[in-house]
Amino acid sequence: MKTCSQTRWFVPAHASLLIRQWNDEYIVHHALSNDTHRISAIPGELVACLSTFGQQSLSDLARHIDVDEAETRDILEALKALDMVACR
Amino acid sequence: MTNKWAHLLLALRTPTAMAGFDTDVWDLLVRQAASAGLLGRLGALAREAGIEEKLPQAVRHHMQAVMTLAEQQQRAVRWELVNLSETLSELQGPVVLLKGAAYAAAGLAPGPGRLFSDIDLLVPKSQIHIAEAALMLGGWNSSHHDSYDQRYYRDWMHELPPMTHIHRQTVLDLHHNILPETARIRTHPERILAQASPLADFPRFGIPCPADQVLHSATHLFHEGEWEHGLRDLVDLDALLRAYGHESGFWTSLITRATELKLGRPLFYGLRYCQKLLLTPVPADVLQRCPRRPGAAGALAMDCLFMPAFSTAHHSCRHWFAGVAVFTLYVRSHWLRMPFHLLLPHLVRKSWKQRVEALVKREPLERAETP
Amino acid sequence: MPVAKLGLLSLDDLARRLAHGLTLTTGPFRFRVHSRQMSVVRGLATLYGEFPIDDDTGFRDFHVRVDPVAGPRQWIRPQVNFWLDGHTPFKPLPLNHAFALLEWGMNWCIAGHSHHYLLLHAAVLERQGRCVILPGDPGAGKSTLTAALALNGWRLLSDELTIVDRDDGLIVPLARPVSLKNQSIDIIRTFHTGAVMGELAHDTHKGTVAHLRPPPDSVSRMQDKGRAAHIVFPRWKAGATTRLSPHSKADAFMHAANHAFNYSMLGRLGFELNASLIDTCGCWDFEYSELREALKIFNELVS
Repeated sequence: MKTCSQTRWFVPAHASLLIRQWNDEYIVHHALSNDTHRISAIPGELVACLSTFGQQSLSDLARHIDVDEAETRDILEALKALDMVACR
Repeated sequence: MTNKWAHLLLALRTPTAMAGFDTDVWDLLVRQAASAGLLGRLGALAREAGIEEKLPQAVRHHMQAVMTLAEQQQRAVRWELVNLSETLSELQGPVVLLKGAAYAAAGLAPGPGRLFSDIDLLVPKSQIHIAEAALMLGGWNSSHHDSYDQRYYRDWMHELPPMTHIHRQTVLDLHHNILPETARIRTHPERILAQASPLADFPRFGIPCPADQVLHSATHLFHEGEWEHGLRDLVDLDALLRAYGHESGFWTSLITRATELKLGRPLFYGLRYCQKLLLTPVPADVLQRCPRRPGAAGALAMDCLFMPAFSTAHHSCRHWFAGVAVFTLYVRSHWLRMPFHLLLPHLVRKSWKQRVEALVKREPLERAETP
Repeated sequence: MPVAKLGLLSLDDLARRLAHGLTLTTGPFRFRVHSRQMSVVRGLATLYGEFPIDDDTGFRDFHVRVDPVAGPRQWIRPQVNFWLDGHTPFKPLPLNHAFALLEWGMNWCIAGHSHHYLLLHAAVLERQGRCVILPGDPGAGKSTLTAALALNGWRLLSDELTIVDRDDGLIVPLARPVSLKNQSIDIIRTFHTGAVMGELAHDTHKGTVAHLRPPPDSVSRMQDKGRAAHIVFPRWKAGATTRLSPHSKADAFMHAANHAFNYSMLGRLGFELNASLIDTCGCWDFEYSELREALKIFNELVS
């Protein structure tokens, strides 16, 4: 079983996310579910980061958004429930 | 037979002819095609033939509008399959997609521009209740709560009552056969399941082999009695036959399979009307080799019912006899589905329910207006 | 095909043409309109005088009919219905709602079928080459404001349907009459004594309804697409100070998407078209109580 630090997070290929940012809010469209979500700055930055740079570890992501790992994981789990991110 | 639909049939048979149609022709044709559920198909045919730019802009816009909707439905079915792959992961045996959902998911010939509403799945009879339970856990609810309807579906028919997803509102029909339990033809769904091949993108699901796709399409059309989309269903069949007809051994396998599954008669009708209306290329001897085909007199008699029924595609080309023909075929479809002692009470009950529903069906204006 | 204006026909000629099928152009759409109802004839004569009409030939986008229903309801509390190519999508309405039913039916045809476009539920007007889109929450006073702007030099593109062309992102006009209800009718009559309105329809599902004739210049320019510059969320509030303040773009995006007729249907394209609009446009909240002041602020917004 992978430890937390070995888990890699990524945007699922079928999601083909479209992302737009206005001020500190993000609008994200998921191509396959056709859902459009409005999300705040920190989750938005996570999605944008994964979308731009490909798969990342939890620690890299936490560093990127300047939030502790536990909270970052919670945000990622919430995004995972919307199928915007996945992990392996 | 009516000639008011001459341009519609010509467009379906020879798509390049659309480039020469004037605006008076299109004024009727767009409405006929839309009513028949074929406007998207004409758009896809025009695009494939490279003549889209030759059509009047307003016509192109209407076609693009329907094709946009068709593309959305195709996307939606792919998303459903992602979710259903998870929901049905524990099921034993194959789960086979049928009709519209199969055409969309597998990119089959009838798919482009085609609208469909429900997802049809076929599972082994032994798995039907496990499948239903898994679907309910996955957020799918059964729609018919009336105990008569429940019995109708569960005991007599080949499918469960339609299930609707609680959030996504998609409708799913779960089948364990392609014909009802009570039907006069006893076919073999386990053989359809055995010959199905998995989808590359969604390995949990399969599609029937080419011969079975053709047979199911023909059986559905000539047994179910839904004539609102009769011409559209015939066009599906024509698309499948044109796509597979060139493959070596296809026609022989089609006849063999029709014999095996006892579906020779609906196949005969399918081939006959595809030839008559859509000029589908069918080798000369294939119709003669259809097992259980009707005799010449029987075939002519059925022409008097099926041809007017197809003409209900639009009010402008509706044959004067269509009302009687459609009613007769409606009774026939029920006669094919169930023995007499069940048939008469069922028809009376269904007719009563439909009258009540028709009175309340149309939307009040305030609901229709808001987006 | 000879192109003439509807207003050049006498009432009798109009009634005769309408009884067989009259072709009317509104923006990119050609309607074949069929009716034997005199109130429909009068409504068209009053409100559609500047609209181009044609012979009963060529491609029409929608074949519509408004006529009394058959059967007992012809005589007992008579009703009319709306047909699109032989189908009746709505329940019948009282006879004196016939013209309003035609207007609603035409909106329904466009909103329900024109997925070549992104269709927003909003009014849109233009001045100085800049279009202002007014999404309408019920009771916000959007229609009153739309009518007032149209009567004061603004080009009316539409009072209900903002049509965005998928190929160039421009706004496509319809220039059809403005639908007003209840107090708006009197407010506009008082505000602009020259305002021409059709007959009142009482006790509709929206209350009392009437339609304002569109300015002739708006109608003559119905083929000129517009460029969106602002999205303004209006809110009428008694005694409020007239005020324009920034509205969150993310919120404007979601509002437009949730209130559009076909945002979801267009998938990624819907997202891109909507996002382009939000990128290009200033997004504003607008609170007002006095129409004159409102007009002043709007004029300043586009100058």
